[in-house]
Parts: sequence; C-alpha cells; structure tokens
Amino acid sequence: MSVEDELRAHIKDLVKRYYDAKFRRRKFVPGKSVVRYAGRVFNHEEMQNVVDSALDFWLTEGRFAEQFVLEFSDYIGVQNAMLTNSGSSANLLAMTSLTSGMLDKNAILAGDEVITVAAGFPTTLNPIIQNGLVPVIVDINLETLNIDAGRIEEAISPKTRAIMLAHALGNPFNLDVVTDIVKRYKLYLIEDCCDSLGSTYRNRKVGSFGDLGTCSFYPAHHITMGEGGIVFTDDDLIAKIVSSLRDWGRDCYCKGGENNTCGRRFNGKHGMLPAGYDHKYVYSHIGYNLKVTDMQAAVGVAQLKKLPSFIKSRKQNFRLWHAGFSLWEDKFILPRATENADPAWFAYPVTVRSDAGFSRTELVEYLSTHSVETRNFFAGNLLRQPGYLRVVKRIVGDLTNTDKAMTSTFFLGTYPGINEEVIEYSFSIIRQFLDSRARPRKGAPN
Amino acid sequence: MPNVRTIKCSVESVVDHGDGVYSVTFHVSPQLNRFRPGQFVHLALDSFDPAEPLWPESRVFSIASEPNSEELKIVYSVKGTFTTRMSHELKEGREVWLKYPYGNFTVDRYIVPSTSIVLIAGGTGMSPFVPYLKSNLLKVDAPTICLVYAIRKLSMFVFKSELLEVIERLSTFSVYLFVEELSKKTELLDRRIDITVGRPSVECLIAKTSKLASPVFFVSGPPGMIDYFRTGLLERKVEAERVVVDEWE
Repeated sequence: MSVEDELRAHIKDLVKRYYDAKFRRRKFVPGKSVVRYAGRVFNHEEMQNVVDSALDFWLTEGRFAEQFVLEFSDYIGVQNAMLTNSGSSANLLAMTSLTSGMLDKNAILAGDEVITVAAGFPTTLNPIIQNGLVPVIVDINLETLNIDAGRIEEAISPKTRAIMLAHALGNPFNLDVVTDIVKRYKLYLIEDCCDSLGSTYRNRKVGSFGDLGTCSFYPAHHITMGEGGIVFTDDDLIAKIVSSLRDWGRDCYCKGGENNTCGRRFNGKHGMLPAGYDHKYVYSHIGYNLKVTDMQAAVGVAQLKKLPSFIKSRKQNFRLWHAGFSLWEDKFILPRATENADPAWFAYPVTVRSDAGFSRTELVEYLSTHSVETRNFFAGNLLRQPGYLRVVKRIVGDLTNTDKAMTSTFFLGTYPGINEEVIEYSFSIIRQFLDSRARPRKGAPN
Repeated sequence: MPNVRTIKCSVESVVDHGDGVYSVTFHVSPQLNRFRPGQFVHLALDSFDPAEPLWPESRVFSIASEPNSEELKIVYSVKGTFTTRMSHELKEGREVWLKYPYGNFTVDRYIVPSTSIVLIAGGTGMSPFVPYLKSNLLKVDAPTICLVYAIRKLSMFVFKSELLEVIERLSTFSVYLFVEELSKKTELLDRRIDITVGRPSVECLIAKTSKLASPVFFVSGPPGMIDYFRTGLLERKVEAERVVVDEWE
C-alpha cells in the first residue's frame, strides 16, 4: 500500500470515529427535540466519501459524478442523466432545452403554451415564464394535490406544446391520462420529480414517462448532496442540449481534463465563425453555469445506496400518519395515492375542512409552539404571490381547489429521520389541540 | 448520448487480419457496456487515475459489437504512431482504459419507422454498422436495409461471419460487396452476397438502390470515400437530410 493510500485509509477511519462521536447517538426527547418535517439522514459513509473527494482535490465533476449519474440513470431506467446544482436549475434546464434551435421545427417558441398547475413550488412554474412561454393553469384535486386530470384536455389550444408538472409531494399525477394526451397532441412532457424520487406508476419509476425528468438533492428531499439536482432523459439530443445549457452554452462536451473527445476541435465550421475555430469556445446556446462539484456527487453516491431504505421509511411513516389522521376525517381531507401509483411520499399532507372549527394557521401555530414542524403546500396559489401578479397566463375554469390548498393544506414529515415515537408524540400534540377546540367555551350556552 | 463511463478492462483476444488490420475484443461488464449502435469509444494505452482524471492520449474507434454484452470489439488498421503502438502492445490480458460512448452516428436517430436504409461502408468503416444490423435481428418490423461494402481484398472481409448471420436471419437485408483486388469470384464464400470487382460508384449505388423509396444513406469509411459519396449524392438531388456521414476521423 502506498503512503498516499495508507493516509487515505487512516483519514477515513478518523472520519468514522468523528461521525460516531458527533452524530451517532442523537435521541429524540419528547417536548424538547424538534420534530422536523425533513432533513438530511446520513452516516459515516457520506462523510467519508466527501472527504475522499476532497483528498482527490479534483473539485469539479470527476469520478464520483460519473459513478452517480451511471447509478442514478440505471435506477430510473433512462440512458442520460446530467447533474446540476439544484432541482430548480434542473427544471430550468429541462424547459429551456425544449426551446433549443437544435430541435429545429420541434423547438418550443416564445408565446407557445405549457400546461401546468399553480399549486406547488415556484420553480416548476418559473422556467415556463423565464422562457417567454405562457403557462396554462389547471386546477388540482384536493386529495391527490395533483392536476385535475379530467380537465387537462380543456386546456389544449393550437399553441399548446408541452405539459410540465410535479408529482405532488411524491404522489404521481395520473400518467395514464397525461401520457395519452401527450401522445395524441404531440406534446412534450416534463416530469418534475423533485419530491418523488422512487415513486412508481404501474410499477415504473416516475421520471421515465416523459421526455425529461428532474430531481432535487436539497436536504429536504429523498436523497441529498446539500445542494444538487439532476435532469434525465432517454433522448440523446435533448441530453446534449441540457449539457450545453448547463455548461455555459458550449457546443463542446469535453469534461475537465479532456480534449477533443469529439475529434472536431480544430476542423469544424460553426455559425459564422472562421473554419477550424477551437470547438472548446464554440457556443451553440445562450447558457448558464449550473454545474456541481465532485464533493456533492460523493455525498450523493453514498445517499443513493440508502435510497431503498429511505423510501421504505417514508412509506411506513406515511402509513402511521394516515392511521392516526383517519380518526379525524371529519376535520381533515386526507391524502390519497393516485390510482395505479405507489408513492415514495415526500410528506404527509392534510387539508383542514371548512367546517373543522379551526383554521390551518391556528393548528400549525399550535404545533410550532410545541416543536412540531409543518409546512404549507409550498407557495399555495402561485398566481396570488406578489411576484406573479403580472405574469401572462391562461386559466382554465376556476382554481377553487388551488385556493383551498393555499388556505387550508399543510404537511408533516415522512422523512427517515422520524419514526413511530416521533409521530406518536406529534399526535399527542394534535390531540391536545383538537381537545382544546372541542371543549365548550366559557359563557357559551350548554 | 448515454452517460459516458470510464472503465479499465483487459484484452480478451486479438485477430491479425494481415496488412496491418486487427480486431481486438475487450472483456467488459455487461452492466457498463451501454451505448447506441454506431457510437464510438476512446481507447487509452497509458495509465489513468480516476481520482485525478487527466485523460491520457487516446484514439477513437467505432464499436463493432453489441451493447450490454460481455465484450467490446473494435477493428483498426495501423496508420500512425498510436495504432502502431496498439499493434505491438495489445495482447491477451493487456489492461487498457476505455471511455465511452460518444458520437451521434446512430442510425435510429435519423429515421422514422418504415424508412429504407442504405449503409455505405469502406474497410474498417463497417464497424459502426455491425451493432446496428445485429440490433435489428430481434425486431419484428425491421426496416429494409441495403449494405454497400467496399474492401480492398477478401482477406479484409473481417465482418464476414457477422454479415452472414444477418443475411440468414434478416429477410429485409441485402449486401453488395465490392472488392478491389479479386482474382476469381469463386473465391467468394456465399451466393447470397452480390460481389463486384472494383470500387462502388455513386451511379452504381443509385442503380442498386433505385427500388427503395426515399432511403436514408449512411456513409462510413475513409474521408475520401465519405466526401465522394456525400458530394455525389447531393449532386444527384438527394436531400441533405437523407445523407448522414460518420465525420469522426
């Protein structure tokens, strides 16, 4: 063993000892510990990988990034995966790729329409607007929190070119209906899987149905790299466009440390550039720099190995929440998995009924003061957000359920960092709140 | 193109076809051996450290075997210092680094179902077409494929067994073999292969494929041959999008 290898092994061992000393024995103390809605779940392996990568000191995409994209694309069942610095960037790259001139007459043009929803996280909707396209908004179903699939066809116009939707909180949208419409009207489909890594529909991974899929590796998600995201596709040309947009818009696809992998570095003719202009500095798109480091990917490699067990925990935690909330169906609208879907739940969402006798805000404030974290269904109705008031859009029918989700839906965590004990504690707090609401008020008639 | 992978593997076998032409087969993991028929691989003879990925000098070769199998085959002819080194160093068991897949010369990308296909290959330029032809063996609706294959002499017919298998199993496939140096036609192996002495011309190509409705032409071989067929086809009013060439050299 070389000195270098010996030192590396020693450092890895020290990292494990450090992990054991600092992180290993953290216990839940009811009333004192915060019940998180999400968070990073890791052990010494993630820490060892990131240190291993730091010792390489290659820094930009390297061996861990290569390993991650190969294993990730195998997991989803697609040929191409491109790492990027966030799920939001992944969505931006996915949508922008479909506007590329490389797609020739199949490119989406400014003013074309993309069907989506307004209930959810902003960066599913944002890339549509950022590319000068017109979002066409359809209402959601309150049980699945996904697009009301029965109303999608109403939204089609001669300008419709794509559907871009998130699988809400891990629950796949109705892919039977959506893929049928996509096929019949020759539309593109982007599946935002930021909250649904590992969810399946008819036993097939979400993200493998559309032209492109995206994922986020922010700590709240199914696996994490700290910051990170990925775009994946089976279409080689779209993959090339995504890589170009991510890497400054360049035409060349050599990675760091590579030269002339295409063999045309000095003998191509591009645009109006002189013949033989160095391909390394040829730009086929107006792009960004949205790349990741190999240290992020190193964390991802260790996380991906844990994904099956993470998903198992998420499903189990969802079942526990569901069993408890089922006792209060008169107060809450409970979540329902889309037919034919097996969600890897991001969270447990509930909607406070209009006649519950309390508001969502009252309940989540109470939970918050007792250290139980909740989150709203992200931005609620995005169209009512200050930044979106002047967005050019088309709304199909009304957005009654979207507005209801904005005022009355919240979610609790299903992430693997919580367990039955934590959920039981949370239920005790919810029970306290409901009991306090059920008691007759002083002076009220009996 | 599918995700690029960098793998260390060893030479399984080498066949010397004479006149500086060699086939080399590498043993690879089927799980990693993913590519689209028509793509190429970078081969490096020097050592490489994935932890410090400064890729060493390499050359590219079209992959002449099927994806997802335990072997990856290339065919090369000795032309310069790197390929000379290959001819000296690539023996059974020698470890090399491969990085692949690369390239867009993938037939399926340029056609829609029911398109007729004309493959024009010269010498080792046949390599990218071999995995494509084999991929059609499993299809129930394989397209009509016509191969025009030019070699210098019969000993250079390195893909003989592969082509005979395709002829045997794919009824929509036909081959026109052109051999520059051929003393007697009876030297030839199989009656199902139409053999002509000399080089193929554009006129001859048009004549042999005249019954095909708007075929897409794919050309792979030496640069001179590619230029000849591309120019010739375009001059004969074949639309540019129906002429696809393997431009890597």
